[in-house]
Amino acid sequence: MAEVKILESSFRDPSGFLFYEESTLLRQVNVCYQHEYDFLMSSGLYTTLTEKHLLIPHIELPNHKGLNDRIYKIIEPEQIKFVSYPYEWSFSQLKDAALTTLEIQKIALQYGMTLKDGSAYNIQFHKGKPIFIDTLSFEIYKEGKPWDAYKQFGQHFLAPLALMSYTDSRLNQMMKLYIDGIPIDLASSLLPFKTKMNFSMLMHIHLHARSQKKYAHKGSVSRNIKISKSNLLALIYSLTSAVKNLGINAQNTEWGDYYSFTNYSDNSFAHKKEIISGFVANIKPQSVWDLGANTGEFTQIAVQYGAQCVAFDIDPLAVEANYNNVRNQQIENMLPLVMDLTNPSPSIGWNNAERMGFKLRPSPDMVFALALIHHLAISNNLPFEKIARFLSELSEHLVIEFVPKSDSQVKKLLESRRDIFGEYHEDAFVKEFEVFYNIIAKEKVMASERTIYWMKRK
Amino acid sequence: MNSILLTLLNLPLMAVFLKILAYIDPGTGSIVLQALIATVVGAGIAVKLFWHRILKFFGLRKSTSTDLSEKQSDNKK
Repeated sequence: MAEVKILESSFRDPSGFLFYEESTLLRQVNVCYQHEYDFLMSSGLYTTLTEKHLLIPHIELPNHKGLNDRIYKIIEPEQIKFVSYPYEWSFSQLKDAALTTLEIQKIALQYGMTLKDGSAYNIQFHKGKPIFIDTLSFEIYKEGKPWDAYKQFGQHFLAPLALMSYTDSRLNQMMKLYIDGIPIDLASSLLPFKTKMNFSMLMHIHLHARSQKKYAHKGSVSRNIKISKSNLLALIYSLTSAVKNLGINAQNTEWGDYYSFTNYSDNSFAHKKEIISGFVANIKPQSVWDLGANTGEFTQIAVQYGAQCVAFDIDPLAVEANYNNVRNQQIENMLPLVMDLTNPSPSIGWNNAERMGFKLRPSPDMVFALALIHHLAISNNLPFEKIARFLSELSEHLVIEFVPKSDSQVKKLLESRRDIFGEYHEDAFVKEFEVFYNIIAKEKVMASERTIYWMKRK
Repeated sequence: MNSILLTLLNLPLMAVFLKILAYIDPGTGSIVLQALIATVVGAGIAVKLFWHRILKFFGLRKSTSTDLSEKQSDNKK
């Protein structure tokens, strides 16, 4: 009997649920969704959306008995390599996810269906692009029916995008606090006054918040409201234009132009790449996490070896630059994500189990921790022992760069504070890491103070 | 007693009604507002399309496309 585990996040929609059978993710379609499912498949909508790479393709498993008597069908969707969440996306990732959702809604209406929810968690990044993963989100459209997902779309996409665009690019972190997206009234109060002069923001955020307040306890009012199909399409166009017109300033952040002011010369930069490339060629990893990846310069080495890569960085603008590069170069095996390693994504939602925390995602074969150790040990006061333990729990292989106190980047970190880091030297680093790892190889980066280690977990 | 009878009589109707309701709360204020925006934007697009046809009639526009989305992007340019 195969091991079965129902996904903790799969309880909101009665149309079906997701479960793991061994390591394969399957979806049960319940009999109450039979009519809609058959319509999706036979109307041509499924074919159109999958051909356009907007909806995850699936196959039906006719011999599967399902997990209960409500079963209509079991389907096996194409598997997503790494599950990520909107609070880990950069601005353009969230924007592309929003536009994908609207594009799907527009096409669905042409085929006589409509999206019944507008959740950002229905989008995942797959082969470098956003893709809709909830095959059961479609319902049959009835002429005159408003878009039930309008409010949710606002909370999951428009509100965080507007806040990132007009207030601060870090504000999608608020998606961690509100499991069903940022409340429209909260977004309205946090946005600057000038957004009231913008038609889209005025209507979709500020007046939306006012309307929600006004009709908070008047549920019956909406029952008689009808919207013609052409006007509903106009609403989708209006949302699309609102999203498209949002952008973020390329303001300088701590990392924005990191590579241009490090103490690396062109030679040592090239040598560092060469060293890492040699280690990757030896290890031949299937999957790599680059922790502190900045714009993904070194992640590219593993990408070129064909590994599935996730490039984490704390700076949303570095991740933004990396994502734009991934999109422009059509790189399919790199996912840039925003992650603060000193406070990684927790498990959130109902029972703290709806959205997986950082350490619950499937581990990679190999981790890069390049130019990271001084940020953890000095900026965050972490002892080497804690860093080594944390990294050793992630992967078998570690490629880590030691940056000594004599390095200009470390000097900069110590400029404005008392040096309480007597233990911060290479011997102590090696001693503590050797508790968890065997050192396989090490190489000094030419014309720099730094050393790169390849370690294998004990 | 009467109210129980009334409820029983209405059960099939309620079942149909429940089926139509969304599994997420669409929010009354959000429905009212989207209806307003859909009407305003829908009317705007209709006017633009109408104006475009007039211009075309007088030979001031060459495009023959009537696709809504193309019109929208045309208008933005």
